[in-house]
Amino acid sequence: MPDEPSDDNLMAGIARGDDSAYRQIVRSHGRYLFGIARTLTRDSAEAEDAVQETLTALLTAKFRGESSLRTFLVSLLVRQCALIRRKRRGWLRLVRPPEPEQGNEEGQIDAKLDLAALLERLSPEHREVLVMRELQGMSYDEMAQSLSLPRGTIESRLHRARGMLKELWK
Amino acid sequence: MNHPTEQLLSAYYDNELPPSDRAAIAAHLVQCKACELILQDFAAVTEHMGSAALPEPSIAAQARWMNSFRPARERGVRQLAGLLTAAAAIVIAVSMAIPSNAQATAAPAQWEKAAVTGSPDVGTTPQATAQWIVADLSAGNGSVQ
Repeated sequence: MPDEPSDDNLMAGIARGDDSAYRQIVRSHGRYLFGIARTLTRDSAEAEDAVQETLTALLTAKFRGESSLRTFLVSLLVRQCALIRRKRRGWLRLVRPPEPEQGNEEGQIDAKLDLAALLERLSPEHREVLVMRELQGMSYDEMAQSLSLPRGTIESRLHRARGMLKELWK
Repeated sequence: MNHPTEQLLSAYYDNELPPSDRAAIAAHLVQCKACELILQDFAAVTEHMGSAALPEPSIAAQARWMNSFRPARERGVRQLAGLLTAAAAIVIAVSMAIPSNAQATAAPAQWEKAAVTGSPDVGTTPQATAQWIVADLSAGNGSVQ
């Protein structure tokens, strides 16, 4: 089986207009990015759009090879998801009053059975570090780069997120 | 060693501590059941999340991503062309709106005024008129800077 092309080679291919390099990136990272986006946006259609916008942004982004391409893509994706969240918040303010933080009792029981529902109860900031670490296996340094945050902030957020999730499913 | 903070334990659990801190916490864990239980909680979170099915994108979305290279590039080229066109339009508009320095500052020469108004200083014979024009030009009037 031939070796996978390096991140630099793939990006050079994209710069040359090589469609196959782009497709390779979609194959290698598309589903992974969707997993993060779906958890962050809580909506499949929005997550699919966020991945598409991320891939489009990659065409003009400056990838300097300081991190892996995957980490770089996640940083673009997190920005797209934040944009979607901001748009949605603005729209919800126009069409309906904000929903209460806690659901009803029946909803809480159901939530215990559903990880996605549990994660929805966390703030976006805590949800994203938990997903990046637990589902995607990213290191603290990779998360810090992706989110443009100090490593110490990642450490404290992750610890708080674990504590909150544990309390939620008790 | 005192109990490490839960945040330190969390970083220990993730294998994200420097070796010296890691060794100190490992030594503490041998004799501390309470901290060991906290680590078990972290492991339970991992297990719980790992057992959940990850969401999958639709087939249609995956196909859309795979085929989006050319449209995205073309959209980028169109945006660039639009920007360049707008920039060119601005340059042309500005250059037309602002007269050139030479045109704005060059005052009409005496002979130009005389040609239009029929100044009395102009000589009455062709030779006198020619001498008057030469003298006016020699004085620097009418030269373009």
